[in-house]
Amino acid sequence: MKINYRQTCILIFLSQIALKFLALPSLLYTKSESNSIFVALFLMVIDGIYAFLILNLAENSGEKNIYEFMKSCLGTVVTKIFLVLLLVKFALSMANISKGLEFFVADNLYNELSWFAYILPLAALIGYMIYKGIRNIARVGEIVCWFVLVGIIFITAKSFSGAEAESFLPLFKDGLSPLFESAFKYSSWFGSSTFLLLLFGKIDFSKKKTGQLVRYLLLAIVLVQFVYYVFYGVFQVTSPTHNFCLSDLSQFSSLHTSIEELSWLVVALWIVAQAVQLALYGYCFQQAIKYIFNIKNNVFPTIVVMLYVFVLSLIGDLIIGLEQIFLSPAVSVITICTQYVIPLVIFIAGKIKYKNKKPRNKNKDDNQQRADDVVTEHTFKQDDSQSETKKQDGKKGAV
Amino acid sequence: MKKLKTIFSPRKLVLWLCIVLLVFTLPQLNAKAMSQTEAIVTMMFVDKEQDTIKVSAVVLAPGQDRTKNQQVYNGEGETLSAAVDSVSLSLGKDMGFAQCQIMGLGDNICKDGVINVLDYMTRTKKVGRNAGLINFSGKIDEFAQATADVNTSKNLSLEEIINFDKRFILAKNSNIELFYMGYFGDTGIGIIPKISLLDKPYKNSVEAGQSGGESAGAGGSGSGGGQSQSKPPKYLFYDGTMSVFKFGKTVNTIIPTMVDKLNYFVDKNQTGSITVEGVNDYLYNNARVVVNMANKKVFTFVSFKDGKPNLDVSVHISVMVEEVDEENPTQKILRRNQEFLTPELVKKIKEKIESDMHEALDYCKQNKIDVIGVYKHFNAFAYKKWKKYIQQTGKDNFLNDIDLHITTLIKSEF
Repeated sequence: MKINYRQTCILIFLSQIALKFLALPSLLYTKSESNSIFVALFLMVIDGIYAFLILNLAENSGEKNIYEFMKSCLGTVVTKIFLVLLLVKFALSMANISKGLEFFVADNLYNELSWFAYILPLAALIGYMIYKGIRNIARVGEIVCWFVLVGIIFITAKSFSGAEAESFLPLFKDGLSPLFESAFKYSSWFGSSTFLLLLFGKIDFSKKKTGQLVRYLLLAIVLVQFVYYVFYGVFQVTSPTHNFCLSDLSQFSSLHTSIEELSWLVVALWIVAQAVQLALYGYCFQQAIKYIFNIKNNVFPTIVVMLYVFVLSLIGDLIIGLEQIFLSPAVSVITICTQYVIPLVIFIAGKIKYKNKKPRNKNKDDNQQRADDVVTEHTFKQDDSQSETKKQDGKKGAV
Repeated sequence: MKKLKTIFSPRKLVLWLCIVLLVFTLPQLNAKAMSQTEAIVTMMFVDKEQDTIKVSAVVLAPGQDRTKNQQVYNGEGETLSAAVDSVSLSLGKDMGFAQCQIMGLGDNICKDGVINVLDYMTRTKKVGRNAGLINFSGKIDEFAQATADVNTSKNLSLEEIINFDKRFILAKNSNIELFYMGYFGDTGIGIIPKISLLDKPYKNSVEAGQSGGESAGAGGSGSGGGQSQSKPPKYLFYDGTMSVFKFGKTVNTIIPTMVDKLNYFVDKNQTGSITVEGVNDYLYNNARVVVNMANKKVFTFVSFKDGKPNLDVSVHISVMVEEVDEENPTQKILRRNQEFLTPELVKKIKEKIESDMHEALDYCKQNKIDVIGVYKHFNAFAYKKWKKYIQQTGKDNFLNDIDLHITTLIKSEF
């Protein structure tokens, strides 16, 4: 089952905003104060550029999945190493979202949260979404995307008049080094285009519009900048103490309306978007396991992902100082490597390997295209879902 | 694989959903109502007497007579948590602070420092940081009882009173968050309203109900509550007096007339009135004129001259003549459709504003309290020079060398 280009753009959009509205603004402030807004801008622009690069490569890779593509360019050993690193990256991203979501639900929504009541439905939901495949996740993303967008704008706009522009001054008072330190330390919260690597062969580029991707990327950047401006402008020096960006903004809204409950509805909807994001990274996690261990069906990797979600909810209680592990330089190095170095290496290797080959002809059918491509021997058999895709190709296009 | 698909088929999913709902909802049928296990605290007061921490909680008692639906429970202990626990014991319930709208801090604890108290209440007890923050004087239990009575019998609330106040007093909400902003800011200054309790009525005081209210459980673990005592009424008194904190401890009290003067520096403060004396011209005869500020814009510019900081403040005010007090009013003053803002009156208003602003800055210099945001302006717009200047003077004396230049523009709202 493939997803279309618009759905891909929506997933990129959701991925760009997913981790940005919980603890990240407060964490960034501890290092680079209100100039953190530029850190977010810088890293999001880089993520946007990487989205273009990876999608370009995915388009030219034809029907190959990332394993096949990397293997043809880099060999089996490097491919497996890269996939393990990507697995770590998605595991970290899942942990980040999961822990943020859990803290938020436990701290803001429920007085006494039952762990069992929280984790059981969540793990079941994530497991089911992953099992049903990427198109299912993309469709849910499509449904919630606009509600989330309007909701976030609504919550933030209510506090806009309370934001003091003066609190952002002086700009770069300690130079640019705190900004780069901040970008390095909190890199795990970015790299929102990396998931596209695991979608090789699963995107239908027949209705590709580059402008569409630009629009969604710009929308995400403008939205995050707007929220950060209001957040830092309202909370100023107390920003590091506000770990729940959106709900705290809602609580300190300078414009009180008679429909305050709506804010919480929006926050609740945003949680759904977080769950979609968790499922997306869970899907990438599952795919990486399949490629690494050469597993053909979806059941075992899905169970592994569900178990991982269970473990994540326990790990915070078992390991004291988990947050410090996330913020350790080693983790930053791994994430930078997986987010920026690996995609770049794959891109360069792909371009070198296929430099004489023409980009994939969209008018040709897939079988013809595959014959045209120089394909190295296929050691990896298509999984169930891909074989299903093959059967359906020609009968109907991707939804 | 096929088996799994059958188990999770769409039809079976509905069944699964029902099972999950049953698993989660059935135990809840047996659960106690939350009101049976948790008391809703609407206001919390903390003070200190010698080495004992005293707390008073105004607790909402749902379902009772409206005039008695807020009850006061008192407790004390060596530590704040012990004092709060003693209230819980006398209540027989846990205390839920999520709906707490007011945090009151007594004079004694304000002198000792309040940051630890606020930290405990917001972090451990989860009092919202948008809860109003006040400084009170008088006995803690009497003050708590008075506020509870005002809320129930007068259909007023302390929250409304202090929130209305934000329009006038340095144009800021008084809440825990803003207090933290001041505390963690460069100057450590925080300002909160100071409310007193009087035995006799005075202007601006609100009578705290005739019933005397119900005072319960005077501390001590498990001392039970609900004993009715007849007490003479107390009066809450608030005239706009502000308590100034520096790094969490009270350092000063600003009287309302000084607050009015300080307000000229604050752009967000849009309201207020100006009284000028001895206006004598073609319209007024040695009159005392009160003008109302309909709109105000304050533009602040900073610069350094010979190493000294210059603060240039430009105040643009639209005014409307409201009250004219003169000995022998002529018919001229009664004429409608005329401009009451005469050049002489404008001159007098300008003089008054300038003298008030100089006086306000002198007050800040004298007391070493930067309540008008001088540090913030210089730090934002002249960072490097200001940093150098601060190194020379220190953070306590930076106001001393500030040169104030004022430009006023008075427009008629007529």
